[in-house]
Amino acid sequence: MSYEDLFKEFSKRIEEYRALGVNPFSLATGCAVKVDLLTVLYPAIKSIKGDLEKFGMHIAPRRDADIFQGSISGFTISREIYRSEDDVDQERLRELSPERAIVLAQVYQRIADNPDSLAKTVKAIYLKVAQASPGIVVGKGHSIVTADPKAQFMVFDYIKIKGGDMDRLVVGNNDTIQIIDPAEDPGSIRQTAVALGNSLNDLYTLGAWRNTVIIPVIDSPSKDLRRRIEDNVNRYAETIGAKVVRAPQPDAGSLLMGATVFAETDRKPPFFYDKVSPGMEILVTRPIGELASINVYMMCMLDREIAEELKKQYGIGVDRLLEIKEEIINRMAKPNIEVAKAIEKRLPHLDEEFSPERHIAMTTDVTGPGIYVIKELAELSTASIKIDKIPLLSPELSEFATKNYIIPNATSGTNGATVIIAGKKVIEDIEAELRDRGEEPIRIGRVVSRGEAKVLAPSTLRKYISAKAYLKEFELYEA
Amino acid sequence: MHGMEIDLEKVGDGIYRLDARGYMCPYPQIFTLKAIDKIENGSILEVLIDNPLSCENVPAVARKNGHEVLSIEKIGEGEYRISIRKRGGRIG
Repeated sequence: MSYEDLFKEFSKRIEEYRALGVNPFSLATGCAVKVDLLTVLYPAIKSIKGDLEKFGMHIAPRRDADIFQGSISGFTISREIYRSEDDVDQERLRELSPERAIVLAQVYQRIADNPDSLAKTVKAIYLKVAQASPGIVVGKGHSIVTADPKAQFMVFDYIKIKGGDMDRLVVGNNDTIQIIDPAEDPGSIRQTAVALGNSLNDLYTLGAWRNTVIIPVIDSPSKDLRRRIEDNVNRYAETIGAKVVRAPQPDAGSLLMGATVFAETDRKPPFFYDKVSPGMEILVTRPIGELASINVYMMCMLDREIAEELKKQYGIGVDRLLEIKEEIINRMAKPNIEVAKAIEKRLPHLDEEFSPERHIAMTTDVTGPGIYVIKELAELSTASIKIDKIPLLSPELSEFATKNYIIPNATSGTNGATVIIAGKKVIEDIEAELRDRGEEPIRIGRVVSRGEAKVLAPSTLRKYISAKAYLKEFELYEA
Repeated sequence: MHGMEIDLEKVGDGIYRLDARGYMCPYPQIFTLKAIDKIENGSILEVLIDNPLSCENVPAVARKNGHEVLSIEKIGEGEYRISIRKRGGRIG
């Protein structure tokens, strides 16, 4: 297709969004919607944690998911949506008496500018919740930005454990996106599939996939679009054998899709930080950097000169760019359940000890922070990790996106790969199995020592990350 | 922004303003480049933004294209004004 044809299609799509009352340029693609972790979210949480703990509220450390003992049939979920502290019904909370909560906070982007304003905005709500639910554990929080000041809210999914089987674990997570591809119909199955896959990915990364439950989080500017997204959720759930449970929705008129999800496991989660040892290898289940192609495509449609530069510098015309983007979105729309199954097999049962010969030590999924997640693994295990290569889906598009300040971290993704740390034999086994299951696993490095948390990465990383806050977390070496 | 056209306002002699508030990264960067294309060499473009990521990326993309970033001022909670002097055309 020519540039003119693609541009015509793109312009038509933009008008369709506008007719819905949505400005596509006010939407972030995929996990780019998250409040910046390093400069805003973590300092904000740190500043309010002490005050909340005085009321007995415990905020779990950053992890991919919430984990508690029990079974899917042994707990209830009650969803409450708050726009301000005035909405917190403390009497109702006392009756409910929840043990845990999974929280989504959507905040206006001007508030997400710095840790102080973010902390001030969410603290009042958290405090009122803490007062009425002493001892509550916030097992997982997810904080995102919106360009619409009227679309600010917090969704609390309260967990009340009733009993039932206690011989297993429940893993829970929430995640949402506004859109994955603004050049596509917001009600398409692919947009919903990426959103749900992204929510489930944190469970899959921990090897949890059995008896999956999806509690959708949907906000939409129109009833028709909401119904289409709900239908997509049902279709998607069928493909993975998951149960869908309906719950109240924010009704803020913005565009948002995702879910709070739960699954069971009878295995220990791969949190064997102290078992990480020199010589263990690092594997990613497939190449990373999904968001670069989508954003470069958008920029090329908005500015023909950018498309011409891309062709001149990398020989990638808009037709090829479209093909790459389509391949990547199709991959993102596919649930990573095969990865979950491969991980589950290599985790110890709940009554079993970890064995470096048979088990995976640590995992995480590559989403918004991209390759930086390896630094988080290094910190958790106080290990020094050396990366030999940066496995990108399209190194050319990631480089172009960085060079032109299109995205600050062109290694970031949504419903992305899983990073696995394990002994050589386990890595070899899982690599072969994943290949058989149609994945593209790549060994990218190894643990070199313990005692100091650092990640040595090839200096080519500069070509893929422009955000200084992330780049400074790596020790770069000339390859 | 209406359709695919940017809203560029002349606010003084050789001074233009682009209001990119309400947009997510990376759109303010591209709208800034498009606005610079439209103004005369030596003129000043004031870009208003409220997306935290663009606060780093709008000045960076302007510098990369050879323009001079005169100032970055905080004008409200999470709102910034970035003043850029146009120096020549675009650099690929």
